[in-house]
Amino acid sequence: MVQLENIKKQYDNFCLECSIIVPKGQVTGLIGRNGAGKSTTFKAMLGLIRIDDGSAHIFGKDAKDLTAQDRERMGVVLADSGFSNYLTIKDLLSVLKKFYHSFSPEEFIKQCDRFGLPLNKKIKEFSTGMKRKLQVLAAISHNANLLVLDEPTAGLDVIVRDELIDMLREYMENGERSIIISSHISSDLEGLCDDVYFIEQGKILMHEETGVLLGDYGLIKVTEEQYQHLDKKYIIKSHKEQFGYSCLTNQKQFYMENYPSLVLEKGSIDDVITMMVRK
Amino acid sequence: MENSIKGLLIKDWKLISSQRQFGVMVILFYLFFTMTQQASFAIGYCTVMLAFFTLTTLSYDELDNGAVYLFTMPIVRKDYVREKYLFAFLVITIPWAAMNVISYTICVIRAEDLELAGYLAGSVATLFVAYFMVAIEMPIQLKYGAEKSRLVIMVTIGVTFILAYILYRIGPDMLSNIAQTLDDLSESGIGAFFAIPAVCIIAVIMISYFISKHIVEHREF
Repeated sequence: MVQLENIKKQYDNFCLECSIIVPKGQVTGLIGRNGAGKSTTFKAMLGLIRIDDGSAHIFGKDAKDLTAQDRERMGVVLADSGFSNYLTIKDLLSVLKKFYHSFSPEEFIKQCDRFGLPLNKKIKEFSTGMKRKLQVLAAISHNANLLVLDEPTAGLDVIVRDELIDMLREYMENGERSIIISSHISSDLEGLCDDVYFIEQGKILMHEETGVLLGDYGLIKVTEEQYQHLDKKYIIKSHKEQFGYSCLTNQKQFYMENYPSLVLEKGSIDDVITMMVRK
Repeated sequence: MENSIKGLLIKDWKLISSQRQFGVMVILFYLFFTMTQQASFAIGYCTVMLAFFTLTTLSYDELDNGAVYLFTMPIVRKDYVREKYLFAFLVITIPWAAMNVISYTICVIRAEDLELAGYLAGSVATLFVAYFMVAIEMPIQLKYGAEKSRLVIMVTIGVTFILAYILYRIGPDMLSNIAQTLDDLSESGIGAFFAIPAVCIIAVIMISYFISKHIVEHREF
């Protein structure tokens, strides 16, 4: 569905260089800190910025050659942008109906009611969470094949977040669709994504299947002395602590079997991020 | 017409409809001056105001980074530019035509002595001025955004005045020749009088459209 191959975009003091693949039927997560390059990656993917090198393909087409029909097959949420604040949801109904052939105003109104979005209020009066809900509902309202979601759960409370994540799971049920999603809330991604990319300073530091990440990754905490004797073959990153060392491994089982006395914590996306970005 | 253009037209119409006060003000202004028998002035002033008004949709699109999101929807950049020119044409021309019909009807009812050719000449001239303003302002605003373009417009107007002044100082003969040519054309019929300005304004709009298209197609968000 999406293929970014060695794309490069140079700004004055930031450079994006990455490759990402989103296969059909999969949910791919993009994790990274603020300013790591998540939104720039999405913009390159959507043809909103020109890339200096590499290629960005969606549905097998170059992103800059996407037609209106191609874009109709996509639903997008952007972190720092949205519908004009001076429109109401009621205004949007007729606009979206023209843009998307599969858009059903009745169904959209039903979903807006479900998520407590007023139809006649100007969007500028909406809270951040309400604006985000509106964008997500619009993205999934027209039977798109691909969802490109940049921080779709930002500003939402836990209950609404779970509801939206459930909606995305429902959306994926037919097996022909794909999602690429970024979020700074790792639990959103752990429960939803098939694989995750970790981006830092414009570069992909890690790509792993979520199952592997949660099953095989672990955090080992060792004293200085234990660290000296530790086989570091499967240690991806280690960091000096007051008590000794924290080590990230992608072969938890190996250390469980060979070093049964070590303190070994189950890996999570948060642990991986923390370890990867620490200097 | 492409569905995306229709959708954008609806969006822009909804956006300017939210500024009802402006619409009411234009109507009141027009009615007041029409009732005080200054219909030509009313039509000219309101048409120029509408020209500025159509450009506010560009500012609305830019607000809060909204244009980026717009271009993630099924909108080809070329169609966005086409829609902006079409919208400006409709919002200027339809009220202009309506105002003319109303003013003419009032004149007929009042049994006023109206020289149709002269009246039309003034009215069409204001329409051309409105088109010209949109043609100049549109690419500037697309390139620099609403805030920066104000400065660019002021500089453009300043430079135009300076050029006009220089032209006035160094080329009075040339100007009198142009005036003479226009006089000759007006004598040879209203159609010929408008032919040259009409061709010129179409050319300006076409150039403006291609510049705007180039700007939007190469724009990064």
